[in-house]
Amino acid sequence: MDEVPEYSAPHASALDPHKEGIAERRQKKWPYQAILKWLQEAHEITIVYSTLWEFCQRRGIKKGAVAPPQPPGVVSTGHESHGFPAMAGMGESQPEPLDFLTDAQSRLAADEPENPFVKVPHRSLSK
Amino acid sequence: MSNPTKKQTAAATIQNSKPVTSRMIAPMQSIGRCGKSTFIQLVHHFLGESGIESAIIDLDDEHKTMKGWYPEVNLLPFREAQDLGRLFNFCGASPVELMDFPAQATEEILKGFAAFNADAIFAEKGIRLTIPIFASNESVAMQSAARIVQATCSYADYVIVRNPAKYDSQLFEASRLMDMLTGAPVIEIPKLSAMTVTEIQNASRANRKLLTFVEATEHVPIAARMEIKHWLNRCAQQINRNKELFVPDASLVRNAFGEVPADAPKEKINFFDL
Repeated sequence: MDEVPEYSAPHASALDPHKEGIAERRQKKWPYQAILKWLQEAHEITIVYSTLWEFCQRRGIKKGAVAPPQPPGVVSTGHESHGFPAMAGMGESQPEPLDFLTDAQSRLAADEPENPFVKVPHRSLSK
Repeated sequence: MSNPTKKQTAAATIQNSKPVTSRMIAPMQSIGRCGKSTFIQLVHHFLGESGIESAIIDLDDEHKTMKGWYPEVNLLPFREAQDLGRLFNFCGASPVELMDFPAQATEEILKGFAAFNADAIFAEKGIRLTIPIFASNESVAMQSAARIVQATCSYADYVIVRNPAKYDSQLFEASRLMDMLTGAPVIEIPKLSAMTVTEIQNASRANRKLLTFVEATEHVPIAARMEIKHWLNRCAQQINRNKELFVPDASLVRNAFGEVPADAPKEKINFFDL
């Protein structure tokens, strides 16, 4: 009888099995590009920069910070690869070419402190 | 020559302060369920209708009310005095900034204001602080109100808020606190009918989102809708009458909210035309 494969939630990320590794490297201040290289060389996962950045944002992984424990049963919103490593890097929600501007913007968003005050747009009463 | 004391330095900073370019509105009394977040929402509505930008921060992670109403708002749990450091670094970028502190945090907030020398920060950044004081008869509310006024009287303005739907105010108004708050205007949040409150709760449940009063008008039956609109306008009119405490410059407010100014020339009526 064939071995039954491990069930993977439909919206789980292919990066989830490597979350600890990613969090550890971000804690040790590895840049995203270095983590991308590590994922490719060590786990043969090819993804674009923005996928990794979004994964870290969603999991609360921050540079130099210890990742908070994730409650059980939490799944990603599934922009990555539906749990199949073979699909990693395919059909990403972000455009493929990564120019230096996107890189810089992402870096700023991830590493620089932001103004905690958020301007809230006004919604008028309907007539 | 002796070195200037901390108090003298702060006073000098205030004298050299910039003109007010930003208002910070921060209810900080140690009382829950008194309408702090509702009041912030009303001020936000008033500012929006007046065409003035405002920024909000939710510091109450127990209730997350502001985050529920405005999902784009940042939730930054306030735990201790040092949490104010980051806020002080960034405050003053918007014409009006609204802060929703948790209840039972007055002492820590005041400790933070003192530790970071908030009056000097506000003076340097051109910020003026407005603290709504909720006129509740509860002893904790009255004590914390007294502490707030004692600690911030040199650099803050106050607005007394009555909210008869949530608390009574007779004791508060008969107390010596009113002497401490001489000159502070009173704003009364009118009661909404129980039917309308239930309609808003039902609409929030159906939409799986905590609806703001403005959002709720699109999801409730006509009677509730009209009551909410009228209620919002009555609140906005009261805030408008004291607009200098809610905006950096009162001339920015162009909306009269349907009120005729007291100094407007009265139309002469010729009774023979009637």
